[in-house]
Amino acid sequence: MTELRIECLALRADAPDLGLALRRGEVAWLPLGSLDTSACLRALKNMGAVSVVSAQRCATMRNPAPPASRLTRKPPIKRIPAAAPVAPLAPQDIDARIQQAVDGAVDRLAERLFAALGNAPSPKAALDEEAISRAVSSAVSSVLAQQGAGGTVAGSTPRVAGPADPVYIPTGIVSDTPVDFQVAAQAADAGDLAGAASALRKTRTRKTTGTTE
Amino acid sequence: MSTDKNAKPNRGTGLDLGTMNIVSARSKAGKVEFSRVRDAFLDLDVGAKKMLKLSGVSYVERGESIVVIGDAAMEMANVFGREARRPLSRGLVAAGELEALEVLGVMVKNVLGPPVEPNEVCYFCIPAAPVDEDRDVVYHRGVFERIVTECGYKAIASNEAMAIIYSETANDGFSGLAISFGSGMCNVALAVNGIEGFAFSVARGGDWIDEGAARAVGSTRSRICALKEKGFDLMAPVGREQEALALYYKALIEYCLESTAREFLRIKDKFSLPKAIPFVVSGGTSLPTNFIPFLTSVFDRMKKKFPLDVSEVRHASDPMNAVARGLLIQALQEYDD
Repeated sequence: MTELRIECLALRADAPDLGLALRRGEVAWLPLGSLDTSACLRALKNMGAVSVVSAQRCATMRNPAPPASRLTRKPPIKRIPAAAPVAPLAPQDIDARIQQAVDGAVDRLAERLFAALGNAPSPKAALDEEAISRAVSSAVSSVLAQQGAGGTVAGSTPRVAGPADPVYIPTGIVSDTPVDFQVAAQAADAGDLAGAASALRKTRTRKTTGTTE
Repeated sequence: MSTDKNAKPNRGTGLDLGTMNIVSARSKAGKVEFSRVRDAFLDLDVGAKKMLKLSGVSYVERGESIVVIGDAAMEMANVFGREARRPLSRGLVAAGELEALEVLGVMVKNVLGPPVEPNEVCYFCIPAAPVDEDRDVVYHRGVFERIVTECGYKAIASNEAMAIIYSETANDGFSGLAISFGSGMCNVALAVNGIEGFAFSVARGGDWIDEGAARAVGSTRSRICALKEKGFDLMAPVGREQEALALYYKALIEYCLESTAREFLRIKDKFSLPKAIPFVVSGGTSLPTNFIPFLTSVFDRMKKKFPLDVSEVRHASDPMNAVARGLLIQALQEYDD
């Protein structure tokens, strides 16, 4: 239903013939013909004390006010200090570290072996291949994990995660079954095809060897 | 023109994989032999087998359906009132289209033929990544690498527009600007002394022209395509349909030239052009009469703003086969004989 929306723009607006008294910002809704029947309202409108608009009232959804309580606030984010960057290792350094770790593992194993020899019936029981390989692989993997967490090998390309082929391509697309259909054949003069191939070979050789003419 | 059938072909082959045609090139006894198949297929019900046999059309049986491949697929599509399917969509193979992959496998195998020796080098073309669409060529390249390898060849991928440089600018020291106006997309490359300055593609081509012109005049794409392939003069279009085609041709050329200028401005600090370079144009979409004068007239209007110094605008000697020829040259240079 269309009605008149009266909004008070002045400090105060009174329309005694309508029994209306408004303060600044207050809004009143009146029937459509009120502006014709009330001389006071017309006068207020002409003075600019009220704004008169014909409009339809509708329900409005209001968002709930944000909670004022301090309890609902998120705790401040604690900044974790960044780990010190691991300096990239040269390949020979990695080899040396692996060797060192393997030597350490073998030494520890030997200690266990000698300790076991005292009360074991035979040395075989203490020294089995599986134990050695486990110790060595754990020592090597600890060095590689340490290196992998930090930088890269100096001068090498950083390792990219994932397989070489990023998408699935099926195999056996080309079947062995002969299929016969029309293929248009055309022959043209080769022109200087061999010369072009030779010139291209020279260009590519020059590029790879870095020589200039 | 025919070649000596008993002559042994030279080692090395080129394979142009286009949205509209698949073309292979092989050199033999002083000639270049091109084999071409239309990159289209049509799947029909088994009931159509008898009719196809009577009309002498070859087909492939595939379970409960039969597949017609190549030019025959286009003809049969008209007979049955259907659209022929295209294994490549806008220059690239559609991911997940397993049926299309099988058809591509059959087409490539027939066009290439058996290798002269095991692992014979085959250069096949791939488009550069389009600058105006979020698509890459990784899957496309992987699929064709596998198909060519399964055909018994050593597959080497090469850029499509660079193949035109190798085919058409040997006398200019492999320096030039090349645009391949294809059906699905247009490929652009700039090279100086065989070194690639940039290569990119735009996802517009002959199909884009057909669609646009068809929409403009309220016609169908296949009708406009047929009209275009029948041949018309770009400098003197006759009728609404030809005029619409000419308008879209102009828009495509402008779009390619603007993209070329933009891409060159991005690399101009790292790449110097010692002298003016030729501008070579190729591809099936460049076949209408007076394409080069039309392109030159568009180019002349943009010349002041165009950042490249162009010595001449010329058509490839054989626009339909230039890419395959360029790939063949690359394959031949792999062998010393």
